[in-house]
Amino acid sequence: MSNAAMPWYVRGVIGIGAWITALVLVALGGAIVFSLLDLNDPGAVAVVGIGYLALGISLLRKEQSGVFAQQLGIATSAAGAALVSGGLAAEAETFWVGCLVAGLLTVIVIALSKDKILQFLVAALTAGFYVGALIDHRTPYFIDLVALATPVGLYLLLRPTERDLMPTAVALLGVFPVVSLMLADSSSAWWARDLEQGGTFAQALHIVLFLTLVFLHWRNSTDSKVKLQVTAFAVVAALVCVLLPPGGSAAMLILMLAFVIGSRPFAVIGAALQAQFIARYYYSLDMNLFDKSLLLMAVGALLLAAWWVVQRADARGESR
Amino acid sequence: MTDSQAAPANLAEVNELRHAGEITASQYLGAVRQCRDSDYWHRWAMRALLVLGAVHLLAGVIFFFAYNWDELSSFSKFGLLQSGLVLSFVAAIVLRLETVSGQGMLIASSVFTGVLLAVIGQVYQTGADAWELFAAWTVLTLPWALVSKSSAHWMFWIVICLTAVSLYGAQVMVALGHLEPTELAIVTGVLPIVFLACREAALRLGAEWLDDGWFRRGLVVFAMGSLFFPAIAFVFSNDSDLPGFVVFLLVTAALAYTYMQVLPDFSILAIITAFVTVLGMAIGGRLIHETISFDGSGQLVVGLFLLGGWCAAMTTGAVRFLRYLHKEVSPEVQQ
Repeated sequence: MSNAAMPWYVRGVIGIGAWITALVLVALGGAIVFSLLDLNDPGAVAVVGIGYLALGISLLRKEQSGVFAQQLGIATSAAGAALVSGGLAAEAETFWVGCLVAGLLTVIVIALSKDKILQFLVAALTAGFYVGALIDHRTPYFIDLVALATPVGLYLLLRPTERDLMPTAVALLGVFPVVSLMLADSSSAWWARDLEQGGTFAQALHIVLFLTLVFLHWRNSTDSKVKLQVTAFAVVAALVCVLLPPGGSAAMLILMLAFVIGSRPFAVIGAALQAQFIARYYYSLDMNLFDKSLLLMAVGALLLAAWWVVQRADARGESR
Repeated sequence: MTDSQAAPANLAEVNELRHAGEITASQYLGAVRQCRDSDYWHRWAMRALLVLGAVHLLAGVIFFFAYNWDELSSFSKFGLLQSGLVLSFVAAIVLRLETVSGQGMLIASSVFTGVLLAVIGQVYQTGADAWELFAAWTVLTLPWALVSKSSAHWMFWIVICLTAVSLYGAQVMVALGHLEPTELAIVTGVLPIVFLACREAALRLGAEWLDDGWFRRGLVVFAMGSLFFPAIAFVFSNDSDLPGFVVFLLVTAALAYTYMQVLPDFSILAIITAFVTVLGMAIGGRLIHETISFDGSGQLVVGLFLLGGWCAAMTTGAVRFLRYLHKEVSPEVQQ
């Protein structure tokens, strides 16, 4: 049985193991270059990385490779991708180079290997360099630029290509919620001072994507009662997304995606992100606690109103 | 997809069909819809709307009183909170505790109780430690948890209880030197196991409303998470953490036996395997460090090389073990 046939949470466990092993191998690459060979050149790290990547991919492509070879292949390839993109980024002194190289390596990994865990790790690496570059260059409206990953991920999930790009899609879809959680209380950070962070476009984008998902569900429903319920829900949900900061609306979007395609993993991830968002929102400095409390109460009241309307419609339908 | 083909049973099968080129990108959503359990997802959506609405509303209430608005008199604060408490309690009875909405209202009563205690502390400047607030909250809301017939209510109560115990341990027992931090971690790690045992016993006695997989998984994550840190601390040099390490092993063995032999549950075994794998990696790291001190360049490279191989071997072991278990123990949640 392959890793792909295991439940999603088991792939998560294997992914954690591969990620830790990759970190050790990255440290090994650094030790070889900086300590053993005594080369003070980040470009040399990239060369070691190419060796790692070649070894890892060849292990994964062997038809009769055992479980150990597979796991070693995933970790070595992921470490190789990190060393190549990190080494070249350090050489060029810009994260953008790292982002570009990691993106190219993701394409190579997709072309040469079918391993989902490796594809996810390398795609996440690319996304990490992208966010790092935006922050490092203090790019205005960086929140809006990070949000651009969401529609790409969503498109890849809803119109999948024959080549399996689901891990890349999941990595892209997770970028915005994860970044907004990590940066929830970053207004006072050095890089965020006097910087227009944006957010309005991201919010608008999430609303459009949310309504697109609602429309997909609405279009495929034949029952007029369900269509009416979905329409009422769409109005309330759009209002909720307007009120919530972009991080909250991104988590809502993942919950809606779970509902439309019937995916329990996305339901769990969306719920966990929303819970994290509320907990971290307490410390956000964008708004005072009083305003945040009113906003959350308004969102709660709207969601409860939507629940009540749909439940009433269900009850009426059953009584007829 | 041709008519002669059987409809896919789940999302994973639809994905396999798409990647095998059996269906086109434009047919994908149609195929997803065919295998989607509409009734299940309708129930899920209704529950999610209610839970999200209640959580946002109650979080808003907590934020509001945490703001300590000067323009609102103490009388108004108490009035608002006590009204909320009474109204939610009455609503829970009217809506009945067998319904999700009734259960949600009773959870709201528990939340209002905690906020009320916090506001009492704010207004009267009682000077009470945080643990006293949580301890009182735990005691006062226990009767509601007992009558709630809701896993969510019990989980909420357990979180408050564990917070109370952790704070009491940290602010009193550890601060006064009566308890070591490791011993406190053991207590907060073993307590969820006690709750888990009670849950399993209650389930056997007929409390079917406790039969939620997430509740069991949540308690196991709480327990393993609390016990994991002293176990790791012991591995990385602190000998005083030995009891934590031993308790981690004992709890792991007990959980593994229970959920492999007595109440087979693959998801619990996957959680345990994850923690044990990471601990195993740490033990390997320590042993390698003890054997080859990382002083010189060559030793560092050899040590990291061995550690990389060890981590890959541990992951391999985890994969093999999980594959074996997957065959032996039917998973509760496949997709």
